[in-house]
Amino acid sequence: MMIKNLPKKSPSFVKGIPIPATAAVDAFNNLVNAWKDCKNTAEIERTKRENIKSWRDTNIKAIEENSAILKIYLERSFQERAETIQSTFERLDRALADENTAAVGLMLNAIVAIVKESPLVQARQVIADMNNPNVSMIEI
Amino acid sequence: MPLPLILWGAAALLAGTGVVKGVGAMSDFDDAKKIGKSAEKRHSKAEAKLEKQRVQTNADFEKLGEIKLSVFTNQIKFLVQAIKNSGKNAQSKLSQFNQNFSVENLREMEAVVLNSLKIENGIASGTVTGVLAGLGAYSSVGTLAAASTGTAISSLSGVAATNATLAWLGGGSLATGGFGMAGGAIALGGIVLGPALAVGGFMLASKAEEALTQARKYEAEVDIAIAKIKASKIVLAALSVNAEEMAAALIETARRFDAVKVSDDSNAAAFEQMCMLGMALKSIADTPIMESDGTASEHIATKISGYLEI
Repeated sequence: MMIKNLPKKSPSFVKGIPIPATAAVDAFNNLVNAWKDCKNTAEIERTKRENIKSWRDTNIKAIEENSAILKIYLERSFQERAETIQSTFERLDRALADENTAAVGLMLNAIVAIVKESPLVQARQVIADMNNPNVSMIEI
Repeated sequence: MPLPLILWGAAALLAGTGVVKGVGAMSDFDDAKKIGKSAEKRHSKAEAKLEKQRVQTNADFEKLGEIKLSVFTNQIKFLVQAIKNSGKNAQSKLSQFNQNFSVENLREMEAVVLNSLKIENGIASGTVTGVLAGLGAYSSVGTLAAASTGTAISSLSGVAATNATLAWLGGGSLATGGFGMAGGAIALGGIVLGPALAVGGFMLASKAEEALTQARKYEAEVDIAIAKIKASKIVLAALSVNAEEMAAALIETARRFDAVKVSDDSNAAAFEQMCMLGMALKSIADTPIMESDGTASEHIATKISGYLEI
């Protein structure tokens, strides 16, 4: 931002006004104090901003790392489940063709058990740990 | 006492510095505002992406709900009729090989079929809406059987109409990042504008430093909220995969049910196989992907849990 209208010299009437020495010293002291305060504030605020940055970076790093673990865990779990469900259906077909009732029951129970055991149940725990500041490491 | 010349020089220098600081402060205030606005923009973008995923997940729940309903109005309906056709002897034989089966089960299944048919007709005529996502997400047998105890289908529709994914996410608390975005912006505005008009160069510079810190704090909170939104997207996507997996399991089991189905127990082996497939269908359809009361929300709703003292 430019300040355009500041006069280069003091107006002539200013020169004519006598300034009491104490007032001048006070003004000077005020100026010095304001400068000191400004310098202190700048330092304090800079430190705060550095703290904020490291707080942000630490949190984001933890969230991103946990998210990456969660993503891999869920992808692999669902992939593994899909393969298991498919192979169990294939075995179910053989059992149905053979009219092997016991095997049919076993295969159906296996399919139902897989469907009921969602990896999201474990994922919930991972997420809960993600939001718990006391947990520094998540094991899957 | 005349003021020493050197002090005049120092005063002039300081005053000049103050003016320069004041000018610099205005630029810092601008920076603070820009930081805040940019953070808000990024948060909105992340929110929009999450919303897109949420809509997709809800659509997947609707598809699953549709398949569940179809299983009840076709396979389970057929099974109930076949068991009835076979008489009490077949029912007691059924309870011997399947300990989960009882006369109560048959009554419950009848109620489920009846209510499924009502819902299907309601959807077709447009009088029942918003049920499917709930049916897909929650334990459908419990919901549908409960309707027989006097709950009107219209009220069932009201319960199930709750946007499943939103309920799970805790009513959108996540979408707002768990803290008031607008509040942050207003606080920032107050700091920027208030003292700027009243103070001199140094004080203005101090206030500008504080405003910059506030803006950075706000930005950091938003960045963390965005990271958590991205993590939530992963879970929403997984919910979709889970719904698809369940839908596929239902379709595959229903296909095999249709291949072996018999209308009574005259072919004992086929009847038994059909009953087993039917009970498996019911069990799968009764598996909730999420809790209907939104209990999972406490795990998923993200909060700014870190503690920052500035």
